Amino acid sequence: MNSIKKEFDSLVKSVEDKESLKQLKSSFVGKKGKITHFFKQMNGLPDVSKREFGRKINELKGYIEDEIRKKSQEIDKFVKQRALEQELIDISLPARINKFGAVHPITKTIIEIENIFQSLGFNVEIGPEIEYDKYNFEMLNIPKEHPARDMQDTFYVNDNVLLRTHTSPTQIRIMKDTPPPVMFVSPGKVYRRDSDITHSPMFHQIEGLLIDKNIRFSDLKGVLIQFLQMFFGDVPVRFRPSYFPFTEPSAEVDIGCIMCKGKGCRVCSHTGFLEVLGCGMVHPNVLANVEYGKEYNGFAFGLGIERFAMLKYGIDNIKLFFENDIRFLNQFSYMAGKTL
Amino acid sequence: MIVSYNWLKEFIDIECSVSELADKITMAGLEVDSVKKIETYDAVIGQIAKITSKNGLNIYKVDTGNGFTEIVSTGKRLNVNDKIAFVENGKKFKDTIIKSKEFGEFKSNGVILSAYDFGMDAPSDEGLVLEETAKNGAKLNSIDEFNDYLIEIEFTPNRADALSILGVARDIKALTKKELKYPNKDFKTNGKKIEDIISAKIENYANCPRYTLAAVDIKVKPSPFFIKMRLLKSGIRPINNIVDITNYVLMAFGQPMHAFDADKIDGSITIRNAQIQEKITALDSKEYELDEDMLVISDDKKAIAIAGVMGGEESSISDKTTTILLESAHFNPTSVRLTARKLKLHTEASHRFERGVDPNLCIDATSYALKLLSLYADAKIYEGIIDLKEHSFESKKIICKYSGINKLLGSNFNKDEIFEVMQNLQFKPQNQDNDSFIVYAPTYRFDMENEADVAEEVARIMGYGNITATMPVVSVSFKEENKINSYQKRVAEALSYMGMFEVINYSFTESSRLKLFDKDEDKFVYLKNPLIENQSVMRTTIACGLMDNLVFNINKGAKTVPIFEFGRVFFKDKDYVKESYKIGFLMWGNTPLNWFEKERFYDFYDIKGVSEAIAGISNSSFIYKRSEKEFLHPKRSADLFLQNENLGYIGELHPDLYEVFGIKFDRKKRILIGELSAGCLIERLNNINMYKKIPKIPTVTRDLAVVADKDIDVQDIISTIKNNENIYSATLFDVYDQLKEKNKKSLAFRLILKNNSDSTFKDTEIDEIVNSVYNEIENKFNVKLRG
Repeated sequence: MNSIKKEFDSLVKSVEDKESLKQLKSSFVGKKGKITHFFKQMNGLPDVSKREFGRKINELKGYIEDEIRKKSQEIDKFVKQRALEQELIDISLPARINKFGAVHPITKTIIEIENIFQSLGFNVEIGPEIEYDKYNFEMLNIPKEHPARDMQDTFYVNDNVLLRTHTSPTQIRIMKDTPPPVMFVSPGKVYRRDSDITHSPMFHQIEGLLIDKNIRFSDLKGVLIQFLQMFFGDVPVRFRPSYFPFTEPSAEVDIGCIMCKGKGCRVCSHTGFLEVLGCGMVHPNVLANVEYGKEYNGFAFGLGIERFAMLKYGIDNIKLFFENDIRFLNQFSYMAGKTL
Repeated sequence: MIVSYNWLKEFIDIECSVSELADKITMAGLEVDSVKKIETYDAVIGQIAKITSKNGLNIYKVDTGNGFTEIVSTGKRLNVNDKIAFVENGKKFKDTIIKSKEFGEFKSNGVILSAYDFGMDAPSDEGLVLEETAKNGAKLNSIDEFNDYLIEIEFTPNRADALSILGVARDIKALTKKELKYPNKDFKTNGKKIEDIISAKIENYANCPRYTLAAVDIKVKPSPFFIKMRLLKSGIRPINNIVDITNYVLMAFGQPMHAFDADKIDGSITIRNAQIQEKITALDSKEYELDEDMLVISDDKKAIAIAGVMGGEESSISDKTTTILLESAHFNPTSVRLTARKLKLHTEASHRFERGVDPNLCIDATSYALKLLSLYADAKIYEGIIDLKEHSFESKKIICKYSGINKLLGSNFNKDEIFEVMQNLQFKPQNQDNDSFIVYAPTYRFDMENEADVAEEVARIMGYGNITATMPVVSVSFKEENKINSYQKRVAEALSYMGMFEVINYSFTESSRLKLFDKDEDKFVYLKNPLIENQSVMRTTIACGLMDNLVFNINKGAKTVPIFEFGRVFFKDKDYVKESYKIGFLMWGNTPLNWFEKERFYDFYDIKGVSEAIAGISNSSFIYKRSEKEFLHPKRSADLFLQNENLGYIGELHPDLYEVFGIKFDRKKRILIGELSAGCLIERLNNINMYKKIPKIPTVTRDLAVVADKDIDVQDIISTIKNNENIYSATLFDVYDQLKEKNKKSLAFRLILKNNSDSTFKDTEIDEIVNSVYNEIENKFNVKLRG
């Protein structure tokens, strides 16, 4: 009987599929199986031995049946596992997703800047790109023949109509039509008759204006520091006196150079600072031009989107924005980092 | 403007380093662009001992202070005893080591330096002659003028007062509280009276509020070394002692001056308006035609100078000049500016006059010039200075409040601090009462009008950094979303997710290109002064820019170009311009290459996908009608309608047009283009669909396949099916047009049935509905069930 157990043990080990297991089962406990054969042999034995023998055979039968069952489960598990293994795929294949398409970096930058100002409570306003001289210059305290007009070489449509040279005329348009208080930013295209490595005849600005009672230069500092640190991260910000005809006091705002962290490099002309925007307290003449009461004052600021985008993304040539090379645009995809 | 640090120190004591100084004045509003030390490297001082000239070469025997050496030069001949700067072979100058050079039989042991070698505006072949006291063999930077820094300052247009060494020194005085050192202006007269030689009158006091003249007998010769050097550092070429001294005074004080050759003046001097078409040849040897709005200085016969802009050539200083008339005047800024602009003639003088020159500076500047002329031009000065003016020029009085200034700035500067700043700026403050004070802005401060201007002066001298940042307390509430802005964002995001690239093009283009897409030329808006011809008309369509982008990208090797732009277009509208928004889109080339889809080429249905997405953003649906636009393929294009409004088109570019853009027509790679007016789409941005109840019973679907004539529009069949009250939706899922019958196509639709009751459909009911749908389209479009 021991030899049968040994034989079974060795046979069951080598079984790998259900069919062989079935055959193995029937060769031991089937109708013509070895165990069944033992039962048949038992008839000729004395009762005492018969009982003892019967118990041992039953024990062996039970053992074999258990082992078969276990093996069967094992085979099931193995088969399933092998089926799964055969379903191996290459998970490194690129995803089934459209990898094309991107929002232009200028639009992307405008959206980012707007979002910051909207979170600070500013509305968004849009002004026309073709403007009256009156709104672009005169009402902003830049009369004809003012030397400040040299700062902004202008495209004219006729003597009184021009392509706006900055987004500031939106200030006039909104204030003319809206009683104070007002608080908005206004993005858009602006035009200057200038074209070289660092200048494009068309570029983008975003203007900001806040007019209310009791607005102070220190508030202008607070808002712009907040904005610049939200946009560029934790950079030092400094304000230095400058001149715009439509603000007084006026300031130019510098941030610590984000390329060299203020140590001085080519980008910041070794000053450690980068000039990023112009701002100031709205000039009393401008407020008078839109007939705002003397109890109101406020601040305005303007910045070049291209400059912000160039600094943020390390772009070194303004022309890239308007060539619209797909290889350039694709770097600003919602799936940034992907390759064409 | 470039300011010499040494020169500046003659006007004020400076105790900090030059870089600290640059930082200080930058933070006070005079923006320093750069500070450069003058580098002399291994240059040393020598003296010409002997000159041999041969074959256009000058062979100089140079006293090096410890022997002699020979230097050969092809440049302008120097004189014996001239002190020069030179670098010996093997020594360094800038980035180079001077190497031995042979000129035929002669060998040069070094090079003689010119001012040009130090980056100054001077001829490169003219050796720089140093001061006579320079010591042979000493290093070049032992001479003060070579031991200097050049501070380049960018002035804002309001700071005319600072456009001189004195002007910069005045700001430093306010910042450092040091006293200004005015140069000595004493001179002696020769006993003769100016009336004996010249008289003058002003005809137009509005444009010439003050005119002064001095007369001097002089000797024309080269300027002393320090004057030449300082002019060179300022970017001005030295000419002779007379012209150089007028320029020197200009740079030092900011007062433009002019010297006339007195012998060339006919009769007396009049400041008058030019006559129509009056001509003058100016110092630049060019003839200018003047008009009656321009102011000239004239003698009895002709204009001798364009007032405030440039002198005339005829009366200019020459080697033979023995007597000069020295002009120092104040001209109206606008008048000078207009004249300079009309003549396109911008000079150091016009630059200052149009920004404003202190009317009280004339005599001081003249006095200083006369002193320099005494020292360096053997001057004998006529007694008296002609000084024409109608009135004196008073300081502007501005009343301010301490509290007003602090309120505007958000600062806490105390009264004494503010008072002191005003004093140091020479504003002569006077306290009125507890809070008010009066300041008198000096006559060189043309930018002072009101309290805000004074507040800026306080802030810039105290330092913007000393005002603590705060956050505003506002009463403004959020108004409403700006729809145009929101729309632009939505379009940019939606189309980029679809695989399109947003582009941004110039708003101006070429009219010939524009005409391809827009025949309505009368509406074009032209620029009066375009930069270049192909940017001379404002776009009325986005298409031109998209085509440019396509060509650019094809030339860069792109295989797939799906692009779009949202932007403005411009139309003439009487005297003004109407602006509106358009979305343009273009697709060309292979669909993006990937491993899971077969590569194909973009076709009409891809571009239609874009227009459908755009419709979706505004919760709208377009009607597509065949287009007759000349620039589109006649059979593969559509006009798009929203309700009854034509919003634009989509389609293949007409094959004839490819060549115009330099693109070879390829049957497979069609250019798909589309453009929509965005106005009413923007209006519909926030349109919503109301929720429709979902049927409780499970959806029943049936497929229906039919054969139809090729020229039937599927859209018509679909809308007929959808009109059936029992059909919820109909989706076309198969189109096959390669049937044996060439003029037929097979169409398969999946219908979702609409159950108008609450109970489940019976099979017979379903069959009935499908049959009724089939019968309708069979009757209307003569379709047959597909076998």
